[in-house]
Amino acid sequence: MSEEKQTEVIEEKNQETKSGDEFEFQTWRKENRKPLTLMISLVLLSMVGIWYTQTLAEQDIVTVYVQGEKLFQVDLSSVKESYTYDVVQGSHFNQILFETNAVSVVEANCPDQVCVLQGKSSEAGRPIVCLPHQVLIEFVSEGDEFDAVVG
Amino acid sequence: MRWSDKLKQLTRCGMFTAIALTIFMIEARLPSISPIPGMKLGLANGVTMYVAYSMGVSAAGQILFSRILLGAMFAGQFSMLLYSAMGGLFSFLFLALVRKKTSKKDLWYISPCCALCHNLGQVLTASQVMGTTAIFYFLPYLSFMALGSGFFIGLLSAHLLEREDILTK
Repeated sequence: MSEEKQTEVIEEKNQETKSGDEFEFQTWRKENRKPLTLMISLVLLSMVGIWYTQTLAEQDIVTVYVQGEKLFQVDLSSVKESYTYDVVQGSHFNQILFETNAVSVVEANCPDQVCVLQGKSSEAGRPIVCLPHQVLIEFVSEGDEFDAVVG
Repeated sequence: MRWSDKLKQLTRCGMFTAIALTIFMIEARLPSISPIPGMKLGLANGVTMYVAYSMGVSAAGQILFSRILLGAMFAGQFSMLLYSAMGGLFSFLFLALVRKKTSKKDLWYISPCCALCHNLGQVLTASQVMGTTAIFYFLPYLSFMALGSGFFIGLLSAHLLEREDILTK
């Protein structure tokens, strides 16, 4: 019974179904050692990458980029009262909310709404991106100059 | 190549483009559930994989790029065209490189590798467009997803290739 289950799983996992031939996982594994190692190591590598993004240190200064141009910087730790800023480019618009130690896009008219879905970002410098409108909010360790932005 | 064969090839290409475009449009209509930008299944690429291993790389390239262009037109997202075109270009170049050395038995790992190249192309383009490397933050999440969906799509196209006799007659 368990053997049947195993072969079922194996048959799902690959395409070596020469007509009528019983599929052997052990022989398949031996024939495909290199790609199998490659796949497993790639999965592990991306997991390490995800773990790495979780361990980044917290940062306070955010830079807002629009169309590849630096727009302004805000020190989130110095924000006393939360305020919003509208990034308007023609018919495109994104409303960014700055709070004490947190930043988020609260409203946008982009088709996918991914920037709004990303929610508040304060931890470990997770950037907020709106790909269709080319708006990006990046955390930096040190700001070069401060443009005061009044909401 | 005889004239009628050429006609057959053209009709087939048109049919596969239509299939890929339909899948692409349905997927574009689905609301994005993950907060990771650019994350999606990419089921339409299964058609590209199938065509690459049944009709050849050049046909796959024609179908892929006409699907990307038409998809951007129909979905009305021209701002996303650059990302998908660059991703498509990267993964297609990889596919063209390895196509000759591999068969449909290898699709289960070729497809995830193509998906990885696709993501790498997209992230590189996005970092060029945005003028910052912050976007690389999402690369591990994207590649994790790409490996999973690429594996699934590889299996899908390999199973389709098993029934090649029905689809490409």
